[in-house]
Amino acid sequence: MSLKQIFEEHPERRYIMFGGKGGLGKTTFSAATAYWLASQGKKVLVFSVDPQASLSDIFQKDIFGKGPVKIMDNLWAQEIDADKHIKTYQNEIRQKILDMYGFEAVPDEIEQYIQAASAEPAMEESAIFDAVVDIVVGSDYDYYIYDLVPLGHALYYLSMAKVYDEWINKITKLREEMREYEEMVSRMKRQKETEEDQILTELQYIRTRINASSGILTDKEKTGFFFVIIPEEMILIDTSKAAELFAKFNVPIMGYVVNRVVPRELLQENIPSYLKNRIEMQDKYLEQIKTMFGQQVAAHVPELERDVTGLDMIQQLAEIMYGK
Amino acid sequence: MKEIETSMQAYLKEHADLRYLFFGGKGGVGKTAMAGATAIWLAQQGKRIMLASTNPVHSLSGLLGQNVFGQPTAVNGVPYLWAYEIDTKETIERSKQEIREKIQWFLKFADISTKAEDFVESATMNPAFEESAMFENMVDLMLSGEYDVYVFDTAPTANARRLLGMSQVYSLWVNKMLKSRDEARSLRELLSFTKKKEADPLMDYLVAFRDRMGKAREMLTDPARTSFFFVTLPEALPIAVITRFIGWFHDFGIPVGGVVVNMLIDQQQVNEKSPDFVKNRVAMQDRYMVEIWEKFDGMVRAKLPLFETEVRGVEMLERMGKALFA
Repeated sequence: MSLKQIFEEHPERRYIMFGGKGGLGKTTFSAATAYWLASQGKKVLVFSVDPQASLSDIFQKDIFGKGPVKIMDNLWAQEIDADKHIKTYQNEIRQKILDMYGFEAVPDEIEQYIQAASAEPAMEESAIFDAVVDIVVGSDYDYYIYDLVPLGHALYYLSMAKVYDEWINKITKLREEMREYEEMVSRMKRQKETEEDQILTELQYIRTRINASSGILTDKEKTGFFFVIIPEEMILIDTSKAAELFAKFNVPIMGYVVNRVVPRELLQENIPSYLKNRIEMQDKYLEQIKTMFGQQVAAHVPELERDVTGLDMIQQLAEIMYGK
Repeated sequence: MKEIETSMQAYLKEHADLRYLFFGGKGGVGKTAMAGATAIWLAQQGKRIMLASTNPVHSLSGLLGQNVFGQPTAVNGVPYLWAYEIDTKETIERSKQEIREKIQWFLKFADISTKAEDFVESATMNPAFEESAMFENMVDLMLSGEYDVYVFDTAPTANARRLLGMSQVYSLWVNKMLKSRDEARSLRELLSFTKKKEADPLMDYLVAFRDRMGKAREMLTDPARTSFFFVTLPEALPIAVITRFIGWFHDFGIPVGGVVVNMLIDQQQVNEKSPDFVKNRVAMQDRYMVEIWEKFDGMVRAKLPLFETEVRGVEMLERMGKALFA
């Protein structure tokens, strides 16, 4: 089945991801797919959470940290600036400390922690996660194209929703138990009811959001995942390893897209030896791909004469992938 | 056309005390192969080399055609070279176990009859635990001192930037905990009849931990011992990515050793009769080389050809090493 047919047969799959090892063309495929869907009249957002991603470079427009930026009719692109979100976070934390404990100013010592914590990996992860939740929960596009981070991290990302959920459950439970004790104590002392536990409310709020977004990520009805591969041995080894792992997270795989296939016709011409060897090498692995993934291969995309940057090149790539 | 001012070989000669080499860049530019080629070349100079991967998805075994997962493994056919894909799962299990023991010790010490398991779970289930465990593992390896040079096939470079930030957070926390524990201990000693100083394994651990992190930080920011090299292709996206990385690294005070350009088409094989496909790609590479010389003035250490086959196995890596250290 061609890429076009896959999209036509599954209009309900509105959350689309291209995954694979780094540098295989995930971002360009995301951009070209978004371009094609938009030109079909669908309202599309293509967005990236990867600091290594390059939607700005591909669209030749600085969109980093600027929210959804309109690229053309029906097409928006967004690059999440984690650092900016972390700053917002830090301010929220300061505000919460002031509100919860009734301080006039954030104590110096705590301020030091807030500053240092911006470098914590957990901080960046949560900031990114939060931003993604905001996007998928709070907007109304027909299609969301996730430009995912490389494989290992995509897995990590998918598993994170689960981890966060369990973690928050755990803390919430402890918090609830504590609250029972508190209530008991205040009853014994015949005090008025304990005031509403703000932290618990906060935790419950976070949990609702996480459930909303992880529900979408692993929803077989609405989500589709494409693997990007190239005809090289190491990539195939890594991809089959990854495919097994993805299966464990119940990610619905819609197909495999083979990138950088050097056009066979070139063999007829006067070409340098590196290219001849590459074609022969690719022939071998294209065969292997056929055996490994068979009908699941949705498209072969040729190596282009130059890298894909700018709308003209994106359009050219979209035509190759989806037809004119 | 500009030429390389300080080659990779000259750079290493000028920085003879370098012990920690890292390779970063966008995915697919050949970081792992470059780390492998460097490790082999250095081993052939008679140094004891550790080639390590901290990636969540490893590819050293695939690169070397030999299983190097889970423990330092001598690389076949290359004396003085060991390769090691760090096992995240094992690392995490070990860290969990350590934490469990410490919490149990503490609960006993403080006379609390709760089971440790709940605390262990909430401490280790948080999302950053894996990353911290990986970082610790890398530091352990760096401090082991068993090898002359450590070559890291760095994971996503964005993480490397944060590694240092993390060591700062660690030392803040540890200092704070240390202060509280010191206060608690002196109070306890004051109240106890024996006036005998009690052993405090938890505090000993914290101190050791802080010192280790401090050392790691010092090592990672010392340009005499550490260098990050960035690999790029003559293409827009990989150039944009390393430009961003180099900026970050500069801000964090992490030493950048230079830039390596990979996969250049051999122009001697291209002529008038070559098909447009080839000529256009060469023209594209030429355009981006101009940008590279401009952006990374004086930092380009090597230009490597696009090899006619995939770079895999010791033999190909040796070839790559020769080009890298030409």
